[in-house]
Amino acid sequence: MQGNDPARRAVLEQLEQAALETYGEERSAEATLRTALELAATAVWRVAQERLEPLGPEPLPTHD
Amino acid sequence: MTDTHAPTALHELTAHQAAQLIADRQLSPVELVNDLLERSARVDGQVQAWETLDAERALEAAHVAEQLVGSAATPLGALHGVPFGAKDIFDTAGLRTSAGFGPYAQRVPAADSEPVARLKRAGAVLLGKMVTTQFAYADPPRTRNPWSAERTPGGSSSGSAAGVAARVVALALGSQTAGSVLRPAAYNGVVGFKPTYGRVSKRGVFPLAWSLDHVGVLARCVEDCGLFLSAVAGYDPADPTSVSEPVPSFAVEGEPPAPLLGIVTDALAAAVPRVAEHVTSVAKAFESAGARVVEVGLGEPLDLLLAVHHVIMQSEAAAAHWQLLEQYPGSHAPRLRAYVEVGRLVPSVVYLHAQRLRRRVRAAMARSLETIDALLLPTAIDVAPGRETTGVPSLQAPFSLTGFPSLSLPSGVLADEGLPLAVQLAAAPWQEARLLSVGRWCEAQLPRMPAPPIDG
Repeated sequence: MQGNDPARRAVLEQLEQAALETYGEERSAEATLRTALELAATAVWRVAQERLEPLGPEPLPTHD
Repeated sequence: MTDTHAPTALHELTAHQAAQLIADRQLSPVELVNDLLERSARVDGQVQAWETLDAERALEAAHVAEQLVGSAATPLGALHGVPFGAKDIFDTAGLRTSAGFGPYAQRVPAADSEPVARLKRAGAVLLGKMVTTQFAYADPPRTRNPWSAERTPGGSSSGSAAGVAARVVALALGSQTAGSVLRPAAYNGVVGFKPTYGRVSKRGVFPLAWSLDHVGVLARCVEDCGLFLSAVAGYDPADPTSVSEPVPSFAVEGEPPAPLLGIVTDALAAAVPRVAEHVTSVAKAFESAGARVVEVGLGEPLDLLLAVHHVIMQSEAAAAHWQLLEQYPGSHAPRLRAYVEVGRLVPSVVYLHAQRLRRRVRAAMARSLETIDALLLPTAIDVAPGRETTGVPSLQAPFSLTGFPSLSLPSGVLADEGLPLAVQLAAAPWQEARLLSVGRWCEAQLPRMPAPPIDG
């Protein structure tokens, strides 16, 4: 399961730590923030699994 | 849509039917606006689709439109005298535009957003503003689904979809960043259409995530989507995301041919069984009517598409809103607040990696579409859920990510729950004319959608 993947857990822990430092303990423990952290961790982890060479698609946010 | 089922009430008229009757001097725009205002007075207490009804100015505009019909020297626009609604993230000159945000409750723009301006130039009459979730994100709105008060109308174009379903207006502007046009269309049993990214200017429309935001429309037939697109499509030098692609005709021309459809097996697997079975049976009905249906994929795994979309949307939403969050503490809805707060923590390299992956994803999806007319898949993974959510965008978001045009058609009513079902079609970029043609063919094979069971 992706929730138990060590790399995903590491991403979640990094985001949790950043939330704690930025928003404090009380806010970081609230349910809406916890949910957002979990979802973001899964997305960041999944994106980071995909390898791209430096030469390749450029990161332009357009559709040309 | 064929006109063999002539509506008996003015509020049942589609936009193209109303436009034709007005042009033929068989219908007064004033009479039509008055009928929709009366309809709104009867049903909007239940549905709560309108954020602001602008009755006085709508009637003034309708009177002007009526006078112009009698003026032989003035060519009429394609939507002359036809009322429309606009989601409350579209700026409207002299009319409050608050985006569901408390501190903007008295915000009155000086100018129309470009889509509103273009619809007015085509002769359409702005009837009012329709409820949006706050800044078009995912916090549940006050709007009710006209099919069931206990179910969400979806979001974020909640009022636009519920209002079109409830017959308070035939045409309403919406916007989609993940699934905010097509999903509410599916949940409310109406047609939802999102053109190619860049086809329609977003000037004067509140952003949620710039590289994903699309202008779209809610209507009750595919033909109205073509009328809408003909009115609003085209390059706008004032919108950096607007593209100077040639604008073809989107008008209905003859009977559309039976299409070659690619049914998306990954999407069927992601839907609940009753929805997957429904879409499979719809595909079989299309085949029986002459379509060819082949199995295809989206080009890349669905979970990757959704992860790339999530990272981009959350990062851009955070960039768009973090200063507003600090400027107006306590004013943001809970889910949007958390989304922006966490979005600020996503590393920039991950955002850029996602944007690079997006190019790969887009190319792969384009290859899936090379030999077919359109993809066929469920619009949503299930029928409308409860009001604690606005639903799941997982089957609409892939086309917001790639910017490809997509269309949702109501395809039946779930017998035991009385809720609408829907199928989605998607085409290659800039192929809206083909998508709308396929949509018209499919629409003609599907059962006619009844009106929702509301009083009035």
